[in-house]
Amino acid sequence: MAPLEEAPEPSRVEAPREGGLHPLVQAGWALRAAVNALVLGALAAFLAASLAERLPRLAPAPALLGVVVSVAALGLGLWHARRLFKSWSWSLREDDVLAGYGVLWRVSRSIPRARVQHVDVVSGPVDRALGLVHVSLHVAGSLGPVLTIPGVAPAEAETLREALLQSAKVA
Amino acid sequence: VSGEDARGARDPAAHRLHPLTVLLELGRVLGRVAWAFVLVVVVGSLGGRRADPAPLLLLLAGSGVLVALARYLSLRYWLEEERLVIRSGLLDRQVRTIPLDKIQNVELRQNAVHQLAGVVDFRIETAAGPEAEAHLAVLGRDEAERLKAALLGGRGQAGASVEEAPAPQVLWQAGLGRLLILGATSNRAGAILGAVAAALFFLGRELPGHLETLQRWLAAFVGTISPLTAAVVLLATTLLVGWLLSIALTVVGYHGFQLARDADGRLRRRYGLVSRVETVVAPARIQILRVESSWLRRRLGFWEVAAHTAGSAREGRGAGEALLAPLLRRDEIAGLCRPLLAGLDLESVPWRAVSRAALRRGFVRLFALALVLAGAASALVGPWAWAGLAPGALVAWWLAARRYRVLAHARVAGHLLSRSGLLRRRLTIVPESKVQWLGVTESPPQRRYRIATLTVATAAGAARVVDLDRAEALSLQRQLTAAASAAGAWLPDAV
Repeated sequence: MAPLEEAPEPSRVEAPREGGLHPLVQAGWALRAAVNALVLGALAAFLAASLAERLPRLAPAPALLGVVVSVAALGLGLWHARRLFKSWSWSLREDDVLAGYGVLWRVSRSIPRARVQHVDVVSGPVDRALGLVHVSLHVAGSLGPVLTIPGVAPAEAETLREALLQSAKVA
Repeated sequence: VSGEDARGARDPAAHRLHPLTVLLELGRVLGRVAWAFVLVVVVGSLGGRRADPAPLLLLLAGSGVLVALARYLSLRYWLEEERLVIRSGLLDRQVRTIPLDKIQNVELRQNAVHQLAGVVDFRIETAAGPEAEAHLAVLGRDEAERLKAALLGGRGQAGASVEEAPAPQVLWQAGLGRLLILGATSNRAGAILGAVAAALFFLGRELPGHLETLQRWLAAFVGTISPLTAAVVLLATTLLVGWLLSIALTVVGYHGFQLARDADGRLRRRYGLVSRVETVVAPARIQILRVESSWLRRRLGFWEVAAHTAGSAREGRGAGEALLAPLLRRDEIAGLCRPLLAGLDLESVPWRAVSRAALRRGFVRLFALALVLAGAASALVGPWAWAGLAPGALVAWWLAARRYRVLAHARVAGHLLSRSGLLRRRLTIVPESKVQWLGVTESPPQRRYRIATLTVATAAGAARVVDLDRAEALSLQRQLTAAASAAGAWLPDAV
C-alpha cells in the first residue's frame, strides 16, 4: 500500500493503532487458496475426461491437466494472499478508522468515528482455529458492512470496538 | 404480552384503519391469487375435465375475506409521547414504535379507487431500510390529514388542524406546457414502443395482410406506393401513437405537480390526476441532491432535480428518492436549490477539473472499443474495415476531451459537488455533514496514471468524483473526514 499520510498523534484515543493484519491471517487465506485450487483442478480434470471421450486426439491427459491447473491456481492464490497481506493496513485515528488494501484494485476507506452505528466482531471456524476475528463496521443507510478488517487479534478487536463505541457516545 | 401491547385494545386514543381496508385488502389479495385461479381453470379444461370454478372461487374469496378481516381487526395505531406505535398481527403480534423525530418522510397516495372512496394509502419512512417502515393502508381522508399534521406538526401540538397553518409558499409548479415537454422527452416513449413492437410481433402472420390493406388505403389518397413505403408509414404511425400515449400518461401522472414549502420549512410535493401522491420531506434530511438531464432535454434547456433522503440504500428510483421538479429550465435551478442548500449558490461554483490523465484514460478506453469494433467489422466485411480506425481514433479523442471537460468537482460552503456524464449529464451535491464514509479506489489503469476515484457516501447513495489526481483524492478524503467528524454524530435531521 502506498503511504497514506497519517494524522498527528491522537490525543483523545486511549488506544491509537496503525499497522497491518495479524500475520496468521495468511494461513487462513492459504488454506482457502488450497481448497480453491483442489476444486479447480478437479473441475479441469473432469472436463478433460468428459472431453476425452468425444475427442480423444485433442483432449489432454485428465490427471495431468488437473495437477497442472491445481498447481497454477495454488501458486496464484498464494501469491495473491501474500500481496493482499502486504497491501493491508488499517489504523484507528483521532477522527476515523482508515483502511487501505487491494492487489489489483486499491481501496482506501475512511469511516469517521462519529458515523459508526455498530461494530460486529465475527469469527468463523478457520478464524477460531487461528485465534483471530473479523471486525465489521456498519454505518447508517448501508445494507452490509462498510469495512471488514480480517485477521485481528481478539484483544485488539475488543479495544477497537470499545474505542469506537466510546466515541459514538461522546459525539 | 407487554403492557404496551395490551393497550390499544380498548384505549380511545388507539385508532383503526378505515373500514374500507377490508374491501381494498380483499381486492389486493384476490388480485394476487387471480393468476393461480386462472391457471387451475385453464389446466383443468386442458385436461378435459370441465371443473366447476365456483367452489374454488368461493374458497379463494373466503380466505381472502379472512385475511383482510384479520389485517383490519388486528391493526391499531396510536400516538404517545412523541412516538407513533403500530400494533399489528393476529398470530405473530408485532408492536412497532417509531419516534417522531426519526421519521424521514411521509407519503400519501391515492389511486383512482382510493379517490372515489375518499381514502388514503399512508406511508412513513425512517432511515432504517429500503421499504417504508409503516404502511397504513388505508385511512380516511380526514384521519390521514390529522395523522400527517400530528406526525409532522410542531412537537406537542399534535391536535392542531391543518387549516390553521399559514399557506405554504409554492416553489415550483408544472404547467401543461411543461408536462407536454416532459412527456415528449421522457423515456416512457421507449417503453411504449417496446409494447407496440411486442403487439406487432404477436400480430405476426397477419402483418402482410394489414400492410396490403394500408397500401391500398393510402393509394386512394396519394396514388400508387410501394410496400416498403407502406411499411415505413405503418412504423412511423406506430411510433407516433406510442409517443402521444407516453405524453398523455405523463400529463395524467404528473398532473398539477407542485412543490411547496410550508411554514415549518418542510417540502410538500403533490401530483397526479388518477393516482394522487403527496410527499412531505424535511430539507435538513436531504442526504443528496441530484440535478440531471438527458442529452435531448439538455438540448431543450431542461433539467430535473431530485432529492435523496435516508431510507433507501439502493441506487436509483427507490424509496427515499423524491423528484422535486421533473422539468426545470436551467435558470430556475439555482433558485429552487438555494433554500435547500444553505449558503450554496449554484450560479457561481468554482469548478475544479480532474487530472489531465483522465483525458488519456478516456481515450485509451474509447480507442480499445474502436479497435474491437474495427476487428469485428473486418471479420464481417473484409480487412478494409480497419481503415475506419483512423476516424475512430479521432472520434475517441473528441469524446475523451468532452468527458474531461465535463468531469469536475468543487467544495463550496460545506457541500461537495461532482459533475459527470457525457450523454446524461449529472450534478450531485452532498452536504458534508451528511457524509457517512469516504473511499478512494484505484483501478489498474488508474494506478498507471496515478489517478483515483473518490467516493463520498451518505445514508442515501453516494457521489463519485472520477479520475482525480491521486494525491488530491487522498487529501479530499482527509478533509471530508474531518468535516464529517466536526459535524458530530449523524442524526437524520442534523444540518
